[in-house]
Amino acid sequence: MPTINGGEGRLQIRVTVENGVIVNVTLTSTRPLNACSVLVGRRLGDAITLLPRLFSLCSTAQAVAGLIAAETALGFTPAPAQVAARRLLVAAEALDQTVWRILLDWPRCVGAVSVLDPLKQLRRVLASLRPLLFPDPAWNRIGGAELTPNHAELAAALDAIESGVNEAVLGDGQWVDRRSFDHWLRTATTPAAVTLRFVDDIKLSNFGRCAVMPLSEFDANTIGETGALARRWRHPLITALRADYGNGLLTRLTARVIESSALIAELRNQALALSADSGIPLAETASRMGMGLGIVECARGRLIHRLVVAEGRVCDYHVLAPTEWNFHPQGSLVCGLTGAPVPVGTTLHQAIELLITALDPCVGFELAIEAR
Amino acid sequence: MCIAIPAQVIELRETSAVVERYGERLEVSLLLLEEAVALGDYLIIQAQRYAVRKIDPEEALESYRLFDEIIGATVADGTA
Repeated sequence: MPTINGGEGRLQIRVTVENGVIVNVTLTSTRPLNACSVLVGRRLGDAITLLPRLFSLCSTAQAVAGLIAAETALGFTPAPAQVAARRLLVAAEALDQTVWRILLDWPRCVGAVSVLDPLKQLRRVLASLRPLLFPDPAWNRIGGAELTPNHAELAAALDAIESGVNEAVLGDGQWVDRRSFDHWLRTATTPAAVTLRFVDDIKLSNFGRCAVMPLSEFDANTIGETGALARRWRHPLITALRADYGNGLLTRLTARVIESSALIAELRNQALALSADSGIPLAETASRMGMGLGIVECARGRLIHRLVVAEGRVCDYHVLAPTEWNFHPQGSLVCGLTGAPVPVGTTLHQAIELLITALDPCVGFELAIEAR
Repeated sequence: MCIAIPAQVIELRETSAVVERYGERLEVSLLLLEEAVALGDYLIIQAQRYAVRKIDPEEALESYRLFDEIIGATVADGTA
């Protein structure tokens, strides 16, 4: 049986330091980029059903990107309620991943204590959402599945999510403007505040600052950044922080905190568009030839599926994941590190680990630092 | 891309487990799992650090069949 890093692959990041400055960053990936080759030759409906098994991480976003690509290839437009239900589930998954990073991984990076119980409670409520929309666990059907939203229980679940996230991430503080953010940063005790305060106190706010801009539209010739910072680029607080720190660590981490609130708003918006719908079973009757793109904003950024179907079978399938952008050799991590001075108040390893965690690759990573 | 291959529990510790998949052994936290874990169970791991879900053996074996194809193709075409 072949052995390549457990099959899942990982990122290997090698940083070279000379005279107190990072002079070189090399990034290699052992992630298997051809995972979708196993979908080629399968019936379209079977291939789409397999996606959550292939991509157990962000499986909802992967499933929805595949559904959009398949339905586009077949020339089918799903009912607005089906679209809203899918978007709601994608937002729920992104919220899970975002709060996970903030409560578990950020504190670990700064030597603080991770917070488990609120995350477990949140994950329980988030997991309850799908059955409140789609009674059948096989909700990811081309053309849509039976949708019977339970509005009352959904409203209660969203209230529980909002209060749980606000308490665990923001605490008592509310951000209205830069001034209230600064006050929160100095006084709040949540893992998010502790982490951001650590970054600010040891003067890492600028760390990782670079000229890479957000991906605006899909353009294969441009290396842009995708994810929370790109999505919240024009948020008033992010605009204010960019003026001081560019897209450095403090701005980047703050965007993820803002994201937790924005995703709750997205859940509520999509809930308003829900109504009962029976869906239209398409896969078995699909015979036309077509190409489809499915684009979904998931926790780590823009996820793109592209497929070609002919006579009901998949001829070609490719996925472009957010990690391809943010961990590209000319992407935000490499550009943000190259030329950066070694920080004074902490170890370089800790600073880089924080930056990697803020950019959030979808696989594990190994970091090696060598002095020249 | 975020593929996540099931890993089998080969050793249980207080709040963690040693798991194995495709020759790689990892110690992963069990703190986020709601259900009890036993030796031989199959877990989905996130970022090589946390177990996030337990899956039944049939589902795990189906997943392995898929990933065997992917990893075989990866090794064959040199993309690893």
